[in-house]
Formats: sequence, structure tokens, C-alpha cells
Amino acid sequence: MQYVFALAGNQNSGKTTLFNRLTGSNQHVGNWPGVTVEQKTGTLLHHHHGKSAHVGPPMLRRNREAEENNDVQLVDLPGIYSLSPYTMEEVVSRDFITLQKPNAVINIVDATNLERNLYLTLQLAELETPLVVALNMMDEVNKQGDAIDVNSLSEALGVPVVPICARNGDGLDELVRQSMMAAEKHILPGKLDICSGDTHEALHAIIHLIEDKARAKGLSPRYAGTKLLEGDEKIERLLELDEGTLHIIGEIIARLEKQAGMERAAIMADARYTFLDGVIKKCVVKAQNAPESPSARIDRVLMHRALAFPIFLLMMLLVFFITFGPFGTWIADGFAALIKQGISLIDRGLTAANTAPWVQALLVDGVLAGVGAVLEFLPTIVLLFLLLSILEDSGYMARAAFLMDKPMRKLGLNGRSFIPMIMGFGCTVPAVMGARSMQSQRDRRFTIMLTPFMSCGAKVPIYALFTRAFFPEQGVLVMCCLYLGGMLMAVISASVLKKTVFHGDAAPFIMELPAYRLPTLANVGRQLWDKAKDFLQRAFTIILAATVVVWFLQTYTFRLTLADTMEESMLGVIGGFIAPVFRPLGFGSVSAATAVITGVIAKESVVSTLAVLSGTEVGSSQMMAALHGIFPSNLAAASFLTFVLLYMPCVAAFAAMRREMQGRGIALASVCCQTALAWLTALLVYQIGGLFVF
Amino acid sequence: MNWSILLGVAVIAYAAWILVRHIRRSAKGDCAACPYCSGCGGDCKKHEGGK
Repeated sequence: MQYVFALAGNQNSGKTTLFNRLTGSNQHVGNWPGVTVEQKTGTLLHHHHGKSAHVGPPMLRRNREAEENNDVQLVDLPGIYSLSPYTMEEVVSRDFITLQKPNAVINIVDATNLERNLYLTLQLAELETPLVVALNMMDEVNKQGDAIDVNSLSEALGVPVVPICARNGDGLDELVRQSMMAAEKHILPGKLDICSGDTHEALHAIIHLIEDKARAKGLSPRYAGTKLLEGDEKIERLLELDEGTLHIIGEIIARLEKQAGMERAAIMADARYTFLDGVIKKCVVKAQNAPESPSARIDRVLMHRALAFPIFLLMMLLVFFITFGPFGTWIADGFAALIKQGISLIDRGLTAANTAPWVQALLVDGVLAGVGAVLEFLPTIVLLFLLLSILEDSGYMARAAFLMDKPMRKLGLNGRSFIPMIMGFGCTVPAVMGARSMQSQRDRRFTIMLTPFMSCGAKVPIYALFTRAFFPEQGVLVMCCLYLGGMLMAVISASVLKKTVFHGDAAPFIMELPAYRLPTLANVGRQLWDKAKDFLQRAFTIILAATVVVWFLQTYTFRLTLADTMEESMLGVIGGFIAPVFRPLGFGSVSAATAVITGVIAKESVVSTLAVLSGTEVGSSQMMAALHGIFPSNLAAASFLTFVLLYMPCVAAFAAMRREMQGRGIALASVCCQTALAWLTALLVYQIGGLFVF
Repeated sequence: MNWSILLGVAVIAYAAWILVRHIRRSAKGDCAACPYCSGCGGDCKKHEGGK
């Protein structure tokens, strides 16, 4: 029989780390809330299934096919705090558990923050689905000097509780054993009576009224009754209650609100927290005279009222200095020389093998020149993301979001919007999807419209190429200007949008700050490997394809004869129509216009296109000279960089925007406005800059 | 000479296939073009045929 286990828990409680451990997957793990926005499925590795005697850290990847056990599918759900559908993540998680009916739910709980995490556990226990609590981060509990009586906790909650440490794999075999047992024997959570007095009576009255309807819809009457008491409209619609029943329930709740002196949703929350308060008092022993936690001590400096912003800027400056300063340049130059030698070797080999001239031209002047020009920036990309993933993994990026709440609020957004924006430095697609964690559609759309202004990783090769060719002495400064320029443009756009399209205030921002953790080598290494692998994959797929197309269009005429000059070629004719649009911006050549167009397919294509069109060797001084021919002045290059920074994102990002904004019109309007803004800003840079530069 | 022409044709065919696949995936908003592809929080794999 095949089993399905759902992995549910609060944000940043370690679900994805546990999922990766149990399935050998490679999902992105971040030390900030909201990394997972959709459910992910994996197969439980065989050695965790209890059929093997293997004990110790999971053997990730090795003999994966042999190790996988198709009996158990594990579903990693987005982080949630309750089963009330306030955000899209909560809807995804709740619908999966209540409608798909997994065989068991593994509720991962952050043991360092038990009371808030168990709030969800109480709701999961109402679902009549086998439930096992995984008490994660027990190593941190021990470090703090606290103690948790696991047996008492299990007894109080009516479910098995297994202490684990997802980061190092402790307790995972026991967790899987308990989950398998709960699923096989269909062991349901024990009945918990968390309410007393009037609430108890009201809840029973409601359950009595809706029991048949709830059973017919496959819901637990207790869960459905609690949700009705809380005012959950989705459950009310799902149950299709008649007018009479709804009226009686309304009467019961009105009376209860009067008796309790509080609003209906607050009544249940109060009951749960009162119950949990008793459980915590009984099961948790806090360390006497516990010293201030290391996170609190670090935060006293990093989140200092006056120092926080300067420290944040300094951190970013340091990241850019290491990546694009002397150290980064030294590594990049060394790698470029290697690529150059490799291409030269292949060229000589092709000549010696008497290769057909057009094939040799296609391979050397097209594929190798284009792909090589992009590959040259692999060390730069890896270094940049190494530093960013260390910041992310340590928990600092979550602080950055918290820090940005105040300024973001002034712009009509909140600190949560900053998380997708930071993700946008990697790639716009997951960043746009990350906006799902926002509660209101207004906030989501607003954030999505601003995300493409962040410089994604694919733009890094363009920036690096141009700084090397035009601003070799001011590389770090130019990089900072580009990254900050994108953010500044997002700020200006947000101010305009707040006054025109998105009136009103953002939803309140509540985020739990994760503890600072030393970035693990495994996690940082995994992220870097992903980054390098994806970069290489892109270079040899879409960049290669775009390069071949550009080479073909540049080499042949519309009659498919060899073009003697650039103007005769297909590219020359097509580019001739588009190039005038960019003339006022200082880069009206066919080559520059073509690079801009291919950049819509994938941003790195800008670099490969320029390399193919310049017809020179990768990283050579001839290529730099050719670039100076395409962009006659440093000002024209600056104008081009400004345009590339701000114009429409690639097609994949546009499609993600269309999907997440739930409207083709608004997504199209967004990218059109963005491109118009890019054109205007580049025009200003070129024309106003021309007044100062001769 | 013949093998090199075959190589040239293979490269062009590969490029054409990649381009068509990329545009198809991009149109669905998938992460074919995303540097975060294998590790991102989005459910790319599901859209790409459950690989």
C-alpha cells in the first residue's frame, strides 16, 4: 500500500530541512519564513523506513534509485500558523490536509518556541487524521539549558511526540517509525477538550447541528464546528447549511460572544492559548537564570536603532567588494583565460580535422564565442551567491526584512514585501512566486510589480562585462550604483503607484525573527552547487540556442546566401528597424538593439549576442575594443546598463507575473510601463550626462 | 567533411529544439529560464512534467 505523509508546521520551523533529510531532495532551505510557497512531493528514502538497519546521517543521493521506497510519499506544505485561510499558503496547506486526506500528518514543531507552534498542533489534532509531532531543534533547547518532558507532552496533546534535530538527522528513524505506525494502524489523535464552560457548550451545540453535513463532506465535525465558531466562511459555504441551521448557529455564537465579552475568533484563540499555557507549565522546565541568548546579544548590535541601517549597507558593500573588487576580478580573469585556451584548442582541433568552414564558423564564432562569453562569469556568480547564501542562512536576511518594514510602510508596502525583493536578486521567477505569502491581493500585485527592478543573477554577467570594458577602475562603485539604482527606482515607482493605483495601507506585518545560526556547509554548498549547475545548464541550453540564432541571422541574408556585410544580413535588416528607437539613448547600433531583444529570452543572452556580433575572442582586448565600437562612449555604455537594469524581465518572469497577478492585462501593463521607464531613465542618463561629460 | 556537416546540422537542430522548449515552458511561467531552478521554492518540477 502506498502511504502519503504531509509535513505541516509553522514557517521557519525546519520543514524543508526535514523534507530534504527524509527524501534526499535538494529543495532550497532558507533561514527566514516563507521559503516554501507551494507543496512539494518526495519519496521517503528506504533507510528511514525502518526496513534497513542504517543509523546515522542520511546517505543523500548515493544509490538513490535503490534506496527510494515508493511506499511513502512525503508532501512538504508551506508554513502556516493556523488552519484559518488568511493567506494563500494556508489555503494550500489546509486544502491538502482536509481534502486530499494524507495517511498521516507529521507536524514539525520548533521546540524553542513551543507555545506558538503548538497552536497549530491543536488545530491539526481536530482533523481526525493520524498525527505525529516532530519536536525539532532539540539541540538548541538543550543548549539554552531548558528541558522538555516529551512523555508528558505526548500525553497532554494526545499524540506521539518525537524529539528530533532535522539539521543533523537525530531522531528521524524514530519519527518515521512512529508515523508509519500511526498511518498503518490509523491511530487518531486523542480527544482534547480545550474549551470550558460556555465555549464548551456552544461548540457542542454547533457540532450537534452540523455533524451529518460535516461527515457527508468528509470533514471532522469537531474541526468544522470550531471553524464555524471562528467565522470561517469557506467552511460555511462547503457545508451548504440551510437558513434555519445558520440562524441557530448565529444565535449560539451571539450569546457566546456576549457571555465571553470578546469576538468569536478571539474566543477560540483564547481557549487554545489557555490550554497551551497549562501544557507548557506542566511539560517545560526553563533554565534558571538563563543567560541572554546569543541571537539577542548579536541583535543588540546588528538591529541597533542607529547602527542597523549603516551595518546593512556596509554588509551589502562588502558583498560587492569581494565579488567585483580585486579578489573577484582575479578569479574571474583566471577562469576567462582558461576558457580562452579551451576555445583556441577546439578551434585548432577543428581546423586539423578539416571541418567544413561554415560548421567551424558556427561552432567557433557562434556557439563557443557566445557560450564562452557567458561562462566566463561563472566564478562571479558563484562568489556573489556564496556570500548572499551565507547572509541568508545565518538569519540576517530576515532581520533585513524587519528593518525595512518602516521605510516600506511609508511606500504603502510592508517588510514582508522585502523578502520577494531580496529573492529577486537571485531570480525574478521565484521572487514573484514568493509574493504569495502576502495576505492581500493589493500587497501581492504591488510587490510583484516592483520585484523585476531588483537585479537578478542573470544580469550579473552583463554588469561584469561592461564594468570590465568601460569602468575597470570603478567596478565596485558601478555595481553598487546598479543594484541601488534598481532599488531606488522601485522606491520611486512605489511612491507613484501608491498615489495612483494602490491606494490605502499595507496589511500589518508580523514576522518571527529566526535565531542566528552558523550557516551549514551542506546547505551553503547545496545552494552553490545548484547555482553553478543551473548556470551551466542555461549556458549550454538557452544561451547556446540564442547564440546559434544570432549567428545564423548575422551570417545569412533573407535569400539564405552568405551576407558580405552586417547590413545585408537578416539581423542587419531587422535591427535596422529597431535600432533607431535606441539612438536617443546613445546606443543606436544594430548590435546593441539585437542584444536588448535577445535579453528578453534570457538576460545572459545580451552578453553572448554581443560576443557573437563582435566576432572576437572571449575576454580578449579585441572584444573590449569591439564593445567600444558598439558603444561609442562610457556614457552610452552607462545608458545601456541603465536600460538593461530596468527594462522588462525575461519571458519566464513575465509569465510568472501573469500567473501570480491573476491577469494578463495588469502583467502586460506592468512590463510595458517598466520598459517605458527604462527608456526614459536611460534617455535622462545619456542626455543629462552629456551636459557634464565631453 | 561529411561528419562535420552532420555536426553542424545537429547543433542547429539542438538549438531549435531548445528554443521551442524554452518558449513553451516560459509561456507557462515555469522556471526553464530560472537560475534557481533546481532549488527554488516554486513548484517548478510539477509544471515540467513531474521530473
